[in-house]
Amino acid sequence: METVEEKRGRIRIEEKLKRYEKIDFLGEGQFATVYKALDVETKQIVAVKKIKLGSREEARDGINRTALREIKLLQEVHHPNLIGLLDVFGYKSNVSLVFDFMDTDLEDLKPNNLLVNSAGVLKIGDFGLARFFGSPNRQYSHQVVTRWYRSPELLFGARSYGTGVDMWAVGCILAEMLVRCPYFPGDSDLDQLTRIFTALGTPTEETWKDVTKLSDYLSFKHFDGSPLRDLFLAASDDLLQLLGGLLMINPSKRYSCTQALKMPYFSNRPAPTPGPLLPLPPSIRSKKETEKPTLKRKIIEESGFGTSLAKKLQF
Amino acid sequence: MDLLCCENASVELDMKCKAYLDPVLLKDDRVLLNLLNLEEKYMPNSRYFSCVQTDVEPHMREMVAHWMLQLCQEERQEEEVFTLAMNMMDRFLSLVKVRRDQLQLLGTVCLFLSSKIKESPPLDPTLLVQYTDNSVTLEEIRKWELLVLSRLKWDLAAITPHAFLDQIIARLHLSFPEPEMRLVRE
Repeated sequence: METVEEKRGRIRIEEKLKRYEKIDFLGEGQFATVYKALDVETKQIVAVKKIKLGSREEARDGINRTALREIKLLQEVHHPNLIGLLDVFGYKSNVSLVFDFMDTDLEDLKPNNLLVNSAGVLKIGDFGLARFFGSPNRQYSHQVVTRWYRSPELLFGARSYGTGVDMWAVGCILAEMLVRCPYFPGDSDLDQLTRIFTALGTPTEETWKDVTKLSDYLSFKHFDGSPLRDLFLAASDDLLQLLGGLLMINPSKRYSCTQALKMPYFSNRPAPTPGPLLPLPPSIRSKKETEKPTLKRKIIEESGFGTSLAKKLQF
Repeated sequence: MDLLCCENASVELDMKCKAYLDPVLLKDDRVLLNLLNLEEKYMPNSRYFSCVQTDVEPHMREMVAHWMLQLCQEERQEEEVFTLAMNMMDRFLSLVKVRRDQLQLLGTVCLFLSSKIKESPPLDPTLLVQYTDNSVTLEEIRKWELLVLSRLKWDLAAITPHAFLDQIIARLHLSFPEPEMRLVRE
């Protein structure tokens, strides 16, 4: 029999289900389905990400624990550049997360989980969902991430690691932005390490103390590696300095976030383009153009003072 | 292309994949200040026995807590699983009146949730049912899991005393070798 408290809880959940009206199907990833929806209470457009329930065993385990961890992380961090979690609701063993609506395709969370909205604001989305999802048949082997952004210490099976793994990933993303395609697109863990070492040099006990003691350590052919200057021909010196600090193979020498932010690259000119002036991907641009322009927008366009002209002149 | 990269954390149970003591986190006072500020947000109401509960009494909470702790030790759970579960239970009891025959179910669900956050793999719900001597059912665990989550607003990131341990030890500037350090922690 249902207790009073259980009944109250059930009613609250049913109310939540009515609060978000599905507008559009946005996409389906491996672990979740994403819908565009209207929050009838606030009249705000939101993205509802419904976590998929896998096997019957997963259903037995109740609320998906990776979703729980993602929610926990999202609730802890509040930042203009992190995707905002607006609400969470569950029904039976399902869990749905309600997010700010972002204009870039929410379905494909792979391109580094970096999303951009039409105001040019970049947000990091998808905290660790792919990261902890279980492989279906092995109970203990479940830490899964996209290989291309994995640091060498993780690929060598380091049993202890720190914030450095994220800084490596940032370095990979930065390199990707420079060459416009994934920089270390390994198709196996071995290939991943080979690509890293070919570019940056094979580590030795001298350059990375105790590297040979890591549990999955393998001795690699010796590569000298190339200076970053030869790998990224168009990059400025300050950018190469930053990149070098991030793509340091030895994790104890890799820059921390604070160190990285203090690099001259971030204070040297040119200053970053303000968000609203950033060029948008064609998919959003075409959508925006078909929308009725606001009066302000019209004035700007008619006066010929469009986005391309809005820049600070530097002498 | 298959981009998923698996870690084999199965080698030995004792060799868990863990973060090392990261100077980035330990040498920055902002971390400690944030922990202190956040801790307050997750404090249960210390007067819930008189303000909220009518059927449940302190000694019952103590019994359930003992049972939970033993279960955690038996299942070799991370120490934080127990402290986080107790925090969830106290926060829930600060908000919702429960009957005494629901208290163990609540404790079970809190352990279940806490282990999902802190452990890999989490506690098996069928095992939990066995630990209650079948006095709660899987169905009840699932139902109450959602109930606890929605009443706690899905906010399970409570700061427990454990979070401060490494911060405090780092500030003592001890220079013992690893085995002694483990002793200090304990």
